[in-house]
Amino acid sequence: MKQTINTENTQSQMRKGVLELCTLSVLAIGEAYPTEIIEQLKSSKMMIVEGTLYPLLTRLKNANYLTYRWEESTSGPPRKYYKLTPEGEALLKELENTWDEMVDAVNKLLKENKNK
Amino acid sequence: MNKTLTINLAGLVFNIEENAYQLLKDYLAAIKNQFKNEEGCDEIVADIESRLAELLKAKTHAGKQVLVDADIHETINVMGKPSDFEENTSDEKQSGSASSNQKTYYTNKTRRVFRDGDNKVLGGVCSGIASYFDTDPLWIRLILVVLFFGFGTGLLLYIILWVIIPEAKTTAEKLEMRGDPIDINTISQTIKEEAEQLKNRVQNFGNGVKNEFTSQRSQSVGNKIGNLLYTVFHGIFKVISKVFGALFVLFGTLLFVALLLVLFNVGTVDGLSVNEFLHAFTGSDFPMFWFKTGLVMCVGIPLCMLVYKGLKLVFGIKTSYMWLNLSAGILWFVGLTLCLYLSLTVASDFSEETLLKTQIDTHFTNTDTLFIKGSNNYEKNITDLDFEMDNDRWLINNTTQPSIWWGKPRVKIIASENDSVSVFMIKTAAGKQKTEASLRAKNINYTAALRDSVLLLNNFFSFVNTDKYRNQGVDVLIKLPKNKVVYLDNSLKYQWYDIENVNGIGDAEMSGKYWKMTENGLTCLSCTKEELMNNKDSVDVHEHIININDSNAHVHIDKHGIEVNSKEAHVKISSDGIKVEEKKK
Repeated sequence: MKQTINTENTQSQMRKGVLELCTLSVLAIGEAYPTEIIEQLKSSKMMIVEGTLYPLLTRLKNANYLTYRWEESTSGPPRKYYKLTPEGEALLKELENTWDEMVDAVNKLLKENKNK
Repeated sequence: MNKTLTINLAGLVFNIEENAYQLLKDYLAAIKNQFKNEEGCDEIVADIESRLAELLKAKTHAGKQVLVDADIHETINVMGKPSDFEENTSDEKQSGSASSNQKTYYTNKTRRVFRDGDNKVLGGVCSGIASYFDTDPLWIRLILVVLFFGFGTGLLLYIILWVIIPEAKTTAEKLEMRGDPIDINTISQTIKEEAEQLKNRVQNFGNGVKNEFTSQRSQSVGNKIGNLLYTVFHGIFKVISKVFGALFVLFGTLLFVALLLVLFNVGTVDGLSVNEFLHAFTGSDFPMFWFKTGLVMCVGIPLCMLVYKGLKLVFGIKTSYMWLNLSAGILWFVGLTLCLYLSLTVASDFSEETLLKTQIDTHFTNTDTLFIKGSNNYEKNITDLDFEMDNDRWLINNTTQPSIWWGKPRVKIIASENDSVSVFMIKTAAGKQKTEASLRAKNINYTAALRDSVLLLNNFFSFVNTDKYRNQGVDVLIKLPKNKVVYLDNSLKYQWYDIENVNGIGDAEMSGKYWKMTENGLTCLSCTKEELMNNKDSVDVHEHIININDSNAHVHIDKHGIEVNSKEAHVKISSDGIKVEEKKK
């Protein structure tokens, strides 16, 4: 029982770790409001629970990586459309590099150990 | 059938069942609590509310207008539990970027003091404190360096801080090190939040109980008040404990500096440096170093502990070190024992006292008036005497080697049992044994001589410091036969000691006057009426005579009657009758 919880926890930790990168990547295409971001993340199975996204967006916004504008909605409450700032774009590039390096390194490591 | 409520969530109106409403409300409160220490908390909550509204909107349609438990549960499952939102992600981000805005980016907890191992020079104490107070470490280091030159207090303080402040090792601790500063605002914020949570909890409790027994509601109200009081007092206590902590640190440090100053020979006791004062009592064979060590341990350790506890209160450090308390206690006890033991060895020198009584040759005819004068054997004025002890004035002359103690003798006049004048000189001293004491008494220099009708007494007695102060003293006892007239010279004004007289005049005021030894005791011959009257509040009872004096009146009662003499009137009651004379000014 305890073992499964730990596995789940590790998996969710991994996802959470790259959530920032994924969110920035979604926004790199263009403006989006949280529900759109969530949908894209869900479709690529990056999302565990939706609540995780909101604090992340607020923090990125407060750190000047994102800006937003309000837009009225016909079907619900007004929406916040988020957009990358130049700093956000720089951060995305940096994180992408880190991600590539990490994926390479991890894959290499896993392969090496499997072949042993 | 269920009761429904109407709510406004992010600008949309919902009809919701009561139980579902409670669920939603608790969920939102939990989210708020999760982000309460985060910048932009309200914004996050508003965003989440807005998303909840969107999700819930999708659950209603023309055929189903009311939200029920199941809807809320499903929505919560989509959004996730508040505990899933946060925590672990921040760690990775924190260590990932070292940008300057990380401070505002991820502050989430109340600030605590840690040693900052990343910016350390020695132990990271200064940089840790600096980040606690939002200043540059340079200033804190500067203060400590300045304090270091103040008798090493800086070093001591640094070591204490090094020991008691834990190092920020985990990322969480590093975050706490830079967390929200603790000030009145954040404290009142915490109190407000706690009170709100409490209110909700109590309300829930109240609702649950309402269905069972209405009588128990009062209990929940009582609990509510009790809990609220607890929260408020807890907040106040926090503030007060910090104030007290600061005071502890301040006084502890000041007193410790004072202790060191005193022991390093800077302070004085009645004009005598502390070392001289101690040496005067102890002599050269005394292990002064050990005594001082004991003193530092005995007094210094409690002061250090005071500073320690104060710092703990100020910075809200809860970790306590058993070994620290224990070793401090042991060292204190050792210091105390050392001090007590050494003090007792000195005190034992006072255990035996001796008197050395010598009579001075006097040949007197009854008709002569006896003049008692001082032969000033010390060049200084009596008011220059250095320090007071045991109501005697003492002076140590340090210009000579070894230094010399000067003390004031006590001169007393009493009635003689026979017809002749006799003068006694009594030297006293203490020691471990009788022989030691009498040797000390013998070593006291004091002379009294009679020339014609003048008795010349030394103003001071003296002994050298190699003898140490062991209760040395000199008494001069002058016995006068009846009808003998004596003149008390002004030069011995401060040496007269407790001389009884009929007129109830104080010792110092007896100087410069002629006195006659009568049946009742010494009687003033040259006193003015004012002087007799000005003696405050004295009652003299002799055989058949009562004299009552105060500043306003003089009452004399004898076998002839009662006489009252005051500034306003003179009243006499006698066998002649009652006579009242009013005085006019």
